[in-house]
Order: sequence, then structure tokens, then C-alpha cells
Amino acid sequence: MHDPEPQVAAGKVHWAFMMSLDGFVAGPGHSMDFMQRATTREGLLQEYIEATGAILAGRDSYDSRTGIHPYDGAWKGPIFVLTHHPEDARQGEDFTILSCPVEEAVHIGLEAAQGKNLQVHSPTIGRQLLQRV
Amino acid sequence: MTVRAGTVTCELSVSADGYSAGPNQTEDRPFGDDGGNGWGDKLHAWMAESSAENSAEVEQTTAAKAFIIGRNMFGPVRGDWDRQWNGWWGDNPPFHGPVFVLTHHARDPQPMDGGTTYHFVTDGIEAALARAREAAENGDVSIHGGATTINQYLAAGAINELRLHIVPLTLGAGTRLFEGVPPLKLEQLTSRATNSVTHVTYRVLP
Repeated sequence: MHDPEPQVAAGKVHWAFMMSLDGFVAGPGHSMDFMQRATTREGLLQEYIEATGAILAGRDSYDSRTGIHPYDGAWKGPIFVLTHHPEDARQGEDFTILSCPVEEAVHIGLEAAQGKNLQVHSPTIGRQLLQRV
Repeated sequence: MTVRAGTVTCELSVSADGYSAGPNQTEDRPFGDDGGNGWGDKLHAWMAESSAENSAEVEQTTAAKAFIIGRNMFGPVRGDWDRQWNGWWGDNPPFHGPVFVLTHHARDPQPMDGGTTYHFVTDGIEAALARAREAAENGDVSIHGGATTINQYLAAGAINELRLHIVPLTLGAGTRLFEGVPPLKLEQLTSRATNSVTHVTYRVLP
């Protein structure tokens, strides 16, 4: 059995998702019920929690019914929400609203992560970042 | 890895974004823009280059007693069989059993060396499955590809077990598994990661 290397804090941009087999990270209406039955390799979530210094999220999840609750509250740290329309974004105590190019958002996020990883919690931002590699 | 008698399985190597072939498929590049040489070398590297590590899965790919494939998987010839074409797999194909080829154009059965016979089925996927089940007796039937054929059988609720080999590349376009298939409930039976591929087996729940 080949196990991937444990995730460590390395100042990198880390795009991690739990997704359906056909590649969806949320269903219609941003439903994420499918996650409830999923299990992960033992220790994986703890690795992610310890390795992550900041999170970059998208507007969709920020505005969704469930909102942004990384690791069910087990992770604490700066969360950035990237949007084209900061003017109508509600203010959240634990969130920083950004409106800038994705590269800049990553730069800001990595700074805030202080040597740990910046985890990207948005499929659309992740796609844009992959296109810019 | 026990398998019940008479299971309808499907086998497919897919990219991390779910494609089994890229766009622009031609006779010279049957897998199209597949991130490799057009012959699926990257998608199937786990079979060719690291077959020892993946020997159980390699063996399993041809363990069924009967196979069903789409015409596009069988070959590039379209329309009437105006050109002799006996598949991509040479005189002694790896199936060693009956292979039912879905087509709109009738053709006599084509026996090959090593026990493979290609049967051409013109009356639809259900008829092909009925004939394959009969030929397999109590053995397994493999819906062997490509993704378009598998998608038709998945949408019809005819597949019991899904065996995927997920390889570390994305294609971005091409022939995608699950295209047009309604949401499925799956039970994960096995998953095994090796250095070049992740093998997963799912049971399709009713």
C-alpha cells in the first residue's frame, strides 16, 4: 500500500477537496450533505489542520446557507474571502474580504499563513490558479 | 477481492478529472489528446510500466467471461464495414472469450486466435447484455468501454460494480465517465493506491 506523504506546513498553496466521484464539491444549492458519510485516512484532518496557516475561500461558500466553517471549527486562523463585489458582502468578524487578482490574494494569504500552507477552499479560485501555473 | 457470480462490472482507466480519452480521436491517435502519445500510454502506464505492482488489477481487467464494447472502442471504421477491421488488439486479443460489439451495422461473427470471438450486436445495449450474460453463464460480464458505452449502461442501471483506475493527470476535455448519468449511490468496496495509480471498486446501490 502506497500512502501519500503526510501533509506538512511548507508555505505552499494547497488545494484540497472532498468531492464526489464525478468531481463535484457541492451539489445543487451548495448542498454538501454527501460529506457526512465520508471517512478519511486516520490523522489526515489533523495533518491538514496543523499544516494550514490561512484559508482562501470564495464568495459562494461565504454566502451559502452553511457558511465557512473549516474543519468544523477545529481550525482557527485568518480566512480570506475573494469576491468581485466587496460592496455587498456582509462583514464577518473572522473574515477578511478581498477584491483583487487571484495572484495577489494568494500573496496576501501566504503572508498571513506565516510559513504554513495557504489552503484554497474554492473550486473556481483553484481552477484559476491552476491555469496560471 | 471476491466477486459474486454473474456480476456486471465495468473497467476504466480515467484521468483525475474523469476522462477516459482526450478530444480529437483519430485512427493514428485513438485516445486523442490524451496527455501522451495518443495511444493511452499515460492513462495505462500502470499496466505497461508498473505491471508488477499492479498485477492483481491487471489480471482482473480480462477476468470476465464475456465482454461488451462500443464500436468506437473496437475501431475507427464508421458506417458499413467497408474495410476489414478486427479491433486494435491483433490476431490474439487479450479477451479469450466472446466480445459483443455494439454497432448499427450488422456483420458476421469474427473469430480470432486464443478464444476471442467478436459478435456484432445491432439491437441495442439490453440485447447485447442479454447475449453476454448467456455467453458468460454464471461468470462476470465486463462492460469494457469506452466511457460512452459505460455511461449508457450506468444510466440504464445495468452495472453492479464499477472498477476505476484513477491516474495522476487531468485532460480537461474528451470522453468523460458519468456524462449524462443520473446521480448514483455507491458503496466503496476496495481502494488501493500504488505509486502510479489509485484503484477503486464501487458497488452500485439500487
